Amino acid sequence: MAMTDLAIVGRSLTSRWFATATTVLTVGVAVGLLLVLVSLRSAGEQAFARGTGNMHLLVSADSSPLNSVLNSVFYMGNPAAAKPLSAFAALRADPRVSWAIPVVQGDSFQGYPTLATTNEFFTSFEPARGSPWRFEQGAGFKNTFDVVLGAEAAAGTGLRVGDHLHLTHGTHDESGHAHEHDEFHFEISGILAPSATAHDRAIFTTTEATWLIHATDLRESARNPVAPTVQNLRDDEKVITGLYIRVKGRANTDAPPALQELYAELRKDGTITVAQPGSQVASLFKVVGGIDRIIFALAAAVLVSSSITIMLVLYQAMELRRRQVAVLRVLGASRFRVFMLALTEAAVIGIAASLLGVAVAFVGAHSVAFAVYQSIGLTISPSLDLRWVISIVAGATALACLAGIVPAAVAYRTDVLRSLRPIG
Amino acid sequence: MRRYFDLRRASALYAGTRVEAFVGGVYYTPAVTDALSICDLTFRFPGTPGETPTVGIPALSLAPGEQLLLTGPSGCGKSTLLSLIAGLLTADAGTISIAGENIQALGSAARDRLRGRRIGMVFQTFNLLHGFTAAENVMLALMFSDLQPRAHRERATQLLSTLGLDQAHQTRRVDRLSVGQQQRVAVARALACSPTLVLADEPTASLDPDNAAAAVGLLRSACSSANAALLCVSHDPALPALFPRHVSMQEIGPGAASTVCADGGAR
Repeated sequence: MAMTDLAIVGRSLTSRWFATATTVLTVGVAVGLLLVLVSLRSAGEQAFARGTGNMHLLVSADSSPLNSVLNSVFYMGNPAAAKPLSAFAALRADPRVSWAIPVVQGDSFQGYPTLATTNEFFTSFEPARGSPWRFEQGAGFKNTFDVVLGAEAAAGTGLRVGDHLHLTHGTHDESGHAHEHDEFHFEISGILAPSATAHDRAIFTTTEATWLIHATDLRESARNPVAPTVQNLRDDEKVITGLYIRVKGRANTDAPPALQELYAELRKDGTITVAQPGSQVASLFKVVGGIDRIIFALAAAVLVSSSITIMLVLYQAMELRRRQVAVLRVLGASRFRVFMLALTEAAVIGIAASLLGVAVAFVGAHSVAFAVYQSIGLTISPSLDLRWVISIVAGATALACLAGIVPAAVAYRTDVLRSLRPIG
Repeated sequence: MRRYFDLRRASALYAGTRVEAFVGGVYYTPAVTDALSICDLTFRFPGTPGETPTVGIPALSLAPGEQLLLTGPSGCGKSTLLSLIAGLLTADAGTISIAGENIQALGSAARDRLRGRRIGMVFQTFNLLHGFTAAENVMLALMFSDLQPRAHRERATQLLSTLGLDQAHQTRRVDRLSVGQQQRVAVARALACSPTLVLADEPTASLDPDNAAAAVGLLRSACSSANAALLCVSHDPALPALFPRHVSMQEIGPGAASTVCADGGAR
């Protein structure tokens, strides 16, 4: 094999392998950091935007609209208060309302949150706009004590259609023990396909089942001897923590005219909190956006400073290699050619670092996503957008080349004579 | 001492012929382009005070395959002259033709190409590239030659073998070779591109007399078999005895007798 320019560059880089490796590592980590931020930001935004699905309004008794959205849609905490379903009779019958799905939250099973609701949740509500629920196995509720599992809850618990389970009351009680409702045996009737939203972690029960469990507790502590049944449940026992509402309008409108009108009317009612989940998520990201602009700037600064490292390392190497450059000139290499050799070295470092960065980003984004899932239960699926990958990789390589110009200029201007004289 | 004159410009009749003036006698020789032909060369380092140029050579030429030793004390401009010939410095005036091509008249990149194809250089400290094997050092020179890349390995192997470096040493890094072996690699590298002219800068300065004689013998015989002209500059007093022709910088310097140049007419 003949010698080539790339072979010279390769030999030069490998002969200083330690400096090369540390430089590649420095730049690679910076590239990875930027890519992780980019992928997590868009994935995070997407996870939040998806979860609200096709609902227009969320009515609850929570303290603030943002809280109500985080609790009732993203399962981040327990709803603060419940209200009788009967209080919403007028709203549910309102001609402007397409559907109003009651939800009751607050219970959990093996760490998975439960959401008590009606079959409408599976038929009318879409977890992500345009993609309705699909059952992986089985179907919705047929009996009061039927249970439907979200995809992750099913995978995590290992339960299958036809299995039985007992639900606990409250995600935790004060003593740290969960209070088990042994009296009620639930049976799994269906398992949902993944929706890439927070709902995938949920265990769905019927509202009646939840009311019965809680009524049993309440009547026991009130020494009421009458065992609760679906028929004898009182209105004050039939409470809900939230109401998912969609306003009538053309199929694909996100803002039918009646929406703002209904929203304004509901806001006048001081006993309830009404939120437009879409705009709550948007306002949340406006806050987060300011912070991640700073992080972005920091990551970019790290990238620039690591490019300066490339420059320093190559400049120093070039000072030591003046003789090599001079020899190549004597052998017939033009000034331009030795300039390009030095520049290629920088570019090779840039490309190697970018590839490392993509690998770092892939691992990093997934571990951060896992950590987020572990700590707040928000499912984010980080994906490296190819356009971002290409532009960041190209940007890092361009920066590396830019950093290579100084050492390349040293090579270009090498005084051949002086560099070839014996030292001393 | 002999000196060559070329009267090609003087008469159309003699166009393409070479006239050799020798101790008064004049006779014709067949037309041959000189390996090296210097005419009216002057060069001063920028900012040097005084009128005397660093290098001033009215005329100097080497026939193809001719070997010449150029002597002079340190600092008399010998190395500068070599750099001018190699096109690494630009003369203030005059021409330096390598195989008929005036390297001083060429642009920077064209000079580099001419140097890569026509000139080989040998240095006192060899200036081999450490970290590369002996064969790779020779192939580095071939990168800038006319030879097809796929023939490079074979050419390097063949050259090094001819110069007495066996296969095992050819694939060893040059910094792990003995001084004598490095010398052979340096000569092989200088001859890799089948040069018209080999320039040797103090090739024996770091060697003891016995090794110096051996090194000169190696260099001379290698250049002879490659039919490359050899211009060796040195201040080593032992070397003139080892060369067929020898001039000092002073003899060819500004004070030397006026001559007729290849492209300049009578002076």
